[in-house]
Amino acid sequence: MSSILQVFTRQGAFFLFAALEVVCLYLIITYNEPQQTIAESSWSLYSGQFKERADVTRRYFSLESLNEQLREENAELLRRLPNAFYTEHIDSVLVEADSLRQRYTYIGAKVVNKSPLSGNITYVLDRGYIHGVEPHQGVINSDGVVGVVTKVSQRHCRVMALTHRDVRLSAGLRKKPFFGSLHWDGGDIREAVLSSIPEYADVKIGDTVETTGYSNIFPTGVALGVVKDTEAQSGDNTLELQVSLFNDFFRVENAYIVRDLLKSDLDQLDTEE
Amino acid sequence: MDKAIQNSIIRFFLLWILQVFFLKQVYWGWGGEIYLQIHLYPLFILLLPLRTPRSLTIITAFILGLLVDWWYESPGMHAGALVFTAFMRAIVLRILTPREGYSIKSHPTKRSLGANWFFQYAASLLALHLFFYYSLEAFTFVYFKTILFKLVFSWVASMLVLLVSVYIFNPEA
Repeated sequence: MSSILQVFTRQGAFFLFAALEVVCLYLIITYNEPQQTIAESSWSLYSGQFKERADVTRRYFSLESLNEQLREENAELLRRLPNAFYTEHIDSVLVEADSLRQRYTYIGAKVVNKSPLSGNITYVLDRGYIHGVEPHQGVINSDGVVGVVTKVSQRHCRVMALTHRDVRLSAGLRKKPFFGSLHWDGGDIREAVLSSIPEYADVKIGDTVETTGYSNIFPTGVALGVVKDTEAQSGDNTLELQVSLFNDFFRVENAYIVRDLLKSDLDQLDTEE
Repeated sequence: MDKAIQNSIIRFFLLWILQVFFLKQVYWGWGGEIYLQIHLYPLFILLLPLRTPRSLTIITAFILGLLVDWWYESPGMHAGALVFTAFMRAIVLRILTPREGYSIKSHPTKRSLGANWFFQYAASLLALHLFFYYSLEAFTFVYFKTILFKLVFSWVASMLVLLVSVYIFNPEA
């Protein structure tokens, strides 16, 4: 018991010492000019650092809305790219600015759910038909084609990734007049197969593969990947190209849904018979 | 009243008067900085009876420090340093405990515990005191070299005055 008391009195002395030192520091800072100056400048220095750190943290919390804003801006910029327009003017020499008609617009969306690790990847995006999303619209991001919208609900839509067995899209070689059909044949999700390229086409390893625009769901010239390997198909005089895709389908976070404003116009051609 | 307590009370006022009226005049320095000051008033804390409660040591140190500060026009600096010295006194005493321990009759004086012991005791506490004081004065460790210079000069001078006064009076308690 006495030892406990002893400890307490010793600690009491320490607390007294600490308290009196605080009082002395207060007196020094309040009444001595040089120390006051030093204290003020260090205070502003440390508080500045603290404020900076707090600001960084605060900005971290606002990243979500910032992303939202950037997605919208990107969608707006994508809308202004040349491949989003349709030239109405017949006269090919004289192109007037107002003869360009907006063909594609984009809806920025965030991936809110992904299917687990498997071949047939699907995503859920946070945009639905109240935002103008419809089935069979294309989805792209900064790395290229992501996939195709399959189902749409009021505020969300489901997207089939390019590496899904059911997706086929028209793709061609950049700056070369050959095109074929791109599909994924299982296996590595970083690769796809571009088939129906004529055998005489001078395809080189490393050529860029892009969308042709013939699918009417993607604009012309959206990058897909590069040619990795060519293989002549016996029998039908075509080449099959192994394409390594640009997109990392497990890392897709932001996507842009492509709306084709001339879709009904094109659909008339298919339904009239 | 106990002789030791009486002596302490007398020393309290005597050292204060000596410090603020006489030793305050003694200083030396160059380049706008004072490098040598004489601090004799810590002798009061040094010579307090061994059985003085630690809290009381700290409180009297605070009061004496404030009184010195009052004349030096540096509120808090001497008080802060002396409170630190008073706090460290118990630790230094524990480190310097003689082999057979402190007897009930022993006082922290030259006469009671010997010149050698007293020199170590006074030297270490005065160094701690001056170091804390000059740290508070600079208020930053950026100019650590200056603090050390001031410490060395003032320590030598203060030790000299302190030892001379202890040898002259050679108090029993």
